[in-house]
Amino acid sequence: MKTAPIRTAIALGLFAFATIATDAMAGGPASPDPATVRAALEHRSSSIKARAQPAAAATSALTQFSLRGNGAEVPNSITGTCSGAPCSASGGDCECLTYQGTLNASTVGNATWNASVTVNLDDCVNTGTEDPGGGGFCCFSDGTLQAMGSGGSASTLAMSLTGPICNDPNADDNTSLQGGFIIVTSDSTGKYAHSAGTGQLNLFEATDATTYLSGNGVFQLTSPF
Amino acid sequence: MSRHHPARLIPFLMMAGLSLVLLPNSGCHGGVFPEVTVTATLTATVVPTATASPLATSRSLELRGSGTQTGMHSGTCSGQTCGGTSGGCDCLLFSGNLISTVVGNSTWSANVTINTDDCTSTGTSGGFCCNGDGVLNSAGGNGASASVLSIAIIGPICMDPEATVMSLEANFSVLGAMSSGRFANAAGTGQFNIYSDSSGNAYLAALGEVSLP
Repeated sequence: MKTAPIRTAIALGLFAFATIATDAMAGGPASPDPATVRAALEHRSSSIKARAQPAAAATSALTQFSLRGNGAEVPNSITGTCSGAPCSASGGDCECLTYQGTLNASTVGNATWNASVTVNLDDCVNTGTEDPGGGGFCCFSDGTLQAMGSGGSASTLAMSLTGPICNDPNADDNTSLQGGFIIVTSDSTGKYAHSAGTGQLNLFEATDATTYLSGNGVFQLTSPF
Repeated sequence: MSRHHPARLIPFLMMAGLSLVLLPNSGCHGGVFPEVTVTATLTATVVPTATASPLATSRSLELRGSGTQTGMHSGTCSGQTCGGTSGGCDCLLFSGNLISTVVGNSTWSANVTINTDDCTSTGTSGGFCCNGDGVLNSAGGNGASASVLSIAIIGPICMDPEATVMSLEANFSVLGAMSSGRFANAAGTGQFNIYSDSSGNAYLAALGEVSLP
């Protein structure tokens, strides 16, 4: 039986953390400090003040968006972030999980999907329940998901997600991701090149790597933004 | 020599004194250790009784909205003390329009307090999540038919390193006492998302249920 991937990753992360704990305490990579967080928010506020009013454009209705899919984790082991950007976990330990499968979604219809999720292995917190397999815990993560149509006029809907990814002690230590998603307009193509939206995305991976995908939110095929 | 020399009572007096100090921790205030009530609150259960009133009609609640992040200021949105470990909080303000299965076409405004002291990296450089809480008011109707649906939102608010946007994924609970009109004393819960891009454009989505009295 396949071991839950996040649990294995955490075990490796804990080992790595033990070997570098001294360095971390001496001032290695750390979680964002308040100044970094505030700077990100203030930058946003400045943009708001400087921003021009959006030009009038033919926009679509804001519709409900739902997504259902299944698939599997791609059997690989990628240390570090999925994008190749530096890992900012407190001990420098990140793991990249990748998935692929098929889905059905509002507006999109039937499509194939792939996703990559970066997990911060160093700053996870126990959910409370312990079990022989290691118990429950949650880590923070970020990633991307792409839904791709087929045929000559194939379009790609690109999504980005952030949120906790957990090891569930009440479900055979399976992996459960509950993220907020946004549609990445600049990475979407074809008929989604001007789309936007947001919502919640859940991904569940069983111990045999079978993966289920579920999402709900809002979608605007042609956004005024 | 007396049968009850005072020195022989010292151990008993010390034990009695220690007991008096520790006893209040069994439920009363004023003990050596601070009284912790979180566990009791979380484990409290509601036992249905034969005299319980029937549940109000429950309806699916869906909110779809767009708008802008209108501003930000230091401190909490409510003006209450900031609980960040170093006292660091920021308040984000939003407003816009929404459509809803229950509320209809309406305007919305929201404020979200962020604990900026205790954030955690999502892994990829530039990504992090902090805890946030806030209130959203959705106002619809005019005059005598004006109603406001108020919901409290709480959950992680993250900076997405892939798209450089802020994304809040929260649980919501309907604030019946703050709501008015046909939503007065309503109750409900569900999931809530809001995101704001680098230009301040915002979308919100909510899905859950609401019980109208």
